[in-house]
Amino acid sequence: MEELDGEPIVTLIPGVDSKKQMCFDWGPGELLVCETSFHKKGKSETVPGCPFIYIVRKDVDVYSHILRKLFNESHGIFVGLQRIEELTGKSRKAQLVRVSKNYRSVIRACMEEMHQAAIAAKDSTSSRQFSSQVSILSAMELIWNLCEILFIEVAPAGPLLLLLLDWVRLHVCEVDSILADVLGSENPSKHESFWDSPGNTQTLTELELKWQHWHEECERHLQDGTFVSSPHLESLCKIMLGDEAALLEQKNLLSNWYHFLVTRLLYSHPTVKPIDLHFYAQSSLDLFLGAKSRPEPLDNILMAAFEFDIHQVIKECSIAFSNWWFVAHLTDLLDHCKLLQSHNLYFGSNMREFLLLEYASGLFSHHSLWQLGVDYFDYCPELGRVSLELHIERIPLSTEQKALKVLRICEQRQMTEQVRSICKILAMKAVRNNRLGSALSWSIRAKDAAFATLVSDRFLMDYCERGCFSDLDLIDNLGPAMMLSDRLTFLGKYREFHRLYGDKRFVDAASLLLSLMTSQIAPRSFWMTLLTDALPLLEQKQVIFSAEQTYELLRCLEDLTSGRPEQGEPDQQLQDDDIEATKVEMLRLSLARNLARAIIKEGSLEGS
Amino acid sequence: MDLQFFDQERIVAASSTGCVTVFLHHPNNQTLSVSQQWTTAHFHTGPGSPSCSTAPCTGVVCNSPEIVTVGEDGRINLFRVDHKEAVRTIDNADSSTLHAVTFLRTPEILTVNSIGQLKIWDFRQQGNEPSQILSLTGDRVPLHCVDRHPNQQHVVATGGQDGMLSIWDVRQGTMPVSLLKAHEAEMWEVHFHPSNPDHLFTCSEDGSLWHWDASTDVPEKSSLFHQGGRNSTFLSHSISNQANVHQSLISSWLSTDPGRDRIEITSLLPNRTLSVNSLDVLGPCLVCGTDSEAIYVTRQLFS
Repeated sequence: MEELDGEPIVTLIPGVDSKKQMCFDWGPGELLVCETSFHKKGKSETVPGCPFIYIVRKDVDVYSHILRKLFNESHGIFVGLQRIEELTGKSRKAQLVRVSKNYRSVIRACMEEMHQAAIAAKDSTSSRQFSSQVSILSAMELIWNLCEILFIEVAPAGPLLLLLLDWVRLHVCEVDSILADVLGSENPSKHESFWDSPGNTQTLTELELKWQHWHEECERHLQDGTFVSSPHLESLCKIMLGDEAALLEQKNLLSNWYHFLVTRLLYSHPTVKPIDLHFYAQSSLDLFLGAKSRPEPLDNILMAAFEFDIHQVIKECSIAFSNWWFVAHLTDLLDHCKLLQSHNLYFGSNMREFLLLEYASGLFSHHSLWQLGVDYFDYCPELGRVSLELHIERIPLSTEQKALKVLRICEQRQMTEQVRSICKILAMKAVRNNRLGSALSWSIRAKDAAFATLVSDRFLMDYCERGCFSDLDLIDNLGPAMMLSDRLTFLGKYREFHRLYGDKRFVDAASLLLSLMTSQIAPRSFWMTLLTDALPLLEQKQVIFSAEQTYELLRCLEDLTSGRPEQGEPDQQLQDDDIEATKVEMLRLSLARNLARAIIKEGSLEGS
Repeated sequence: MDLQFFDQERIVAASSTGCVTVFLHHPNNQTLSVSQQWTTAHFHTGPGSPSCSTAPCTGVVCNSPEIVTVGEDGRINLFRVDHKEAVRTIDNADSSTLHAVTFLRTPEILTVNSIGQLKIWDFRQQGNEPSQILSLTGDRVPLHCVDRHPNQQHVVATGGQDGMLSIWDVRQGTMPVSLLKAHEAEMWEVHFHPSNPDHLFTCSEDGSLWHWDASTDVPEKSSLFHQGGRNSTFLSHSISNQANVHQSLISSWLSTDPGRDRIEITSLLPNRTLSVNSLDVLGPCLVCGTDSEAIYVTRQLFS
């Protein structure tokens, strides 16, 4: 097991007695904690404890209004990056640099807004909170910018220093004033003409030669004592020669060691090569901080970047920042630059995927940002799909609209199991709330025949109890969905029978009724009801059922009565039996009468 | 889940907690305050539902002083501002979820539900039954949105789960006048432009917002498949005949003459975004909101 990089932070749960033991359980993004009645020392006490269950959440950034914009915008950039066509060579590099700049502009926009919020904040705590967020975002942008220069743009010696100059200039406002100072001094023209033509039109050696020449001239001026009259100009000259002591004298103007580093490089080694950077960086850090102060996490991260140790940069950033946003996106971009070799982590997957999975899982605990997480999972080839399957089933579905979005995501990815399970949950909720139409809708969407049968049984039960159908609008308009389940088909056809009867189309109604019984789609328990429904048809003045049909009905009745087993309890059973017996009697009588009339009618000549 | 302006100062909001709130806008300090609230407008009552089970209110429509709301509980409420209780409630108006509602003429409303039916309710009648039911035969696709033509009260447009746009004439039969294949996923909202009703706007789960232009006053448009604007394609399929109506009176949405039946469709959002959930349009301005928590505003719709 790897050793811990830092001490774990202790979080105190308010209201919980410290002498009692706590129990906990992990959730998707949080921890559930509550007090047990067990005493630490072994004795259980009956003192009433804390009645609450606490949710401990580490990542509160998802709930910040301003940071949410960061998450949303960077999601768009991320998806765009995954989808762009792979170009080669210089255009590919330009593409990736553009993406990196996009990310950085989003960070800066967030920073700006956070800054405005800090100024406008009404109380000091929130103002402080906003300000600290601003500094975190500023650090992020600083690190990202450096990584862009060193790893993505891969600037060679020459342009490297220019980019580093821009980098420092962007982050340290005071640099501008110093530069103005320096430029206003002697040899500004030499300065400008020197830097006006960056590496494009000159080779590195030409640049070096020119610089050597200029440097020597400066030294000569110093030694000749040209500036003896003005100590200010003399120290300026020393600075221009890159004299470290002189630079350090101006420490109060240099806000940090990397500013010192770049200034030093500007005057002593402007054609520094990327691989030599870390020597100067290390010495700059040591010189600037002196013996007393220790480097901060930000300093360590920047040092790791100067040393071109990408993995160390990512590792330090993961520890330093409170959520996975920064490392996930940076690692993904660096992976697109083909800079990460497969780094063997304990559980086998590669670093990019691990970080993206962690970030996306964190998003899923949010009620609205979960949709961004879906796209991140999509671009994790190994474990993305399986993670998505697990997470998507656990999203709380408070409205139908949310459920529809979740279902569409599942259907687009052929996650049929999840569709079935979600639809089943929704259908069950609907049945409990007595929304049978909705329940049927959900079971049709999931093509869940078993649930459709359940809903139809509910309708039939309602009919038996009340004698009429509820929700006729639904049953009358089942359409092709009727074929989903036998019970549903029966329900639809039974309702059709009622409609035909209401329209007085008795012959059609009769044949439909018979077919319902003979085709076996009617449940056995319902046969008595169907036969009873046949009674008024049998008692009509004209003969509706033919002899053939009457024989069928008789057969059904026999089937029904012979199949009845002997029951236990005497009293209630006797009463029921009485009713049953009466019904059967009446049926037998009607059927017999109908049979007689039918035979006579069929036997006699037509046309009379 | 739905918002509508009630009058110049007040906005009605329908919430997924089953609560309907009237907000008052204060223009001098740009704030909103709650003017009135009906907290249990929509709720579930079933054998298995807990006692205080609320249901999301899915649609609201206003016609001062009346407010009509519909919800997942299949209930229709008629509220009047400044009355504490609902003036009229139709319980169990529908066995499935009612997704949207619109006024036809003042005492009549039209609702759409998740089994693909349009139902017309007349508040002058006492019972709890709709006065008319219209639906597509065949697949009962849930309908999510409905809007009435601003000038012609019998013309209604609906959008459903399969992204199809249907135009209905509620006086004529129970079938839609035209079915237009539109989006690739659920269509969440459809709106006629209030002052230019030849223009229709739809937004969908597939992340697009389309502007449908059926105006017939552009002389050079003569071909059936006019490729204009950005990303415009269309496929129109008319299914009913209207032989005896004056051409000048029917709106261009009901026209079935193939020679004149041209609709130009433009996609208004430049890049594909996550789902566009909602839109509204007034004059030259259009506003829409997406699932990436972004709101897009355009102020030059017809330039």
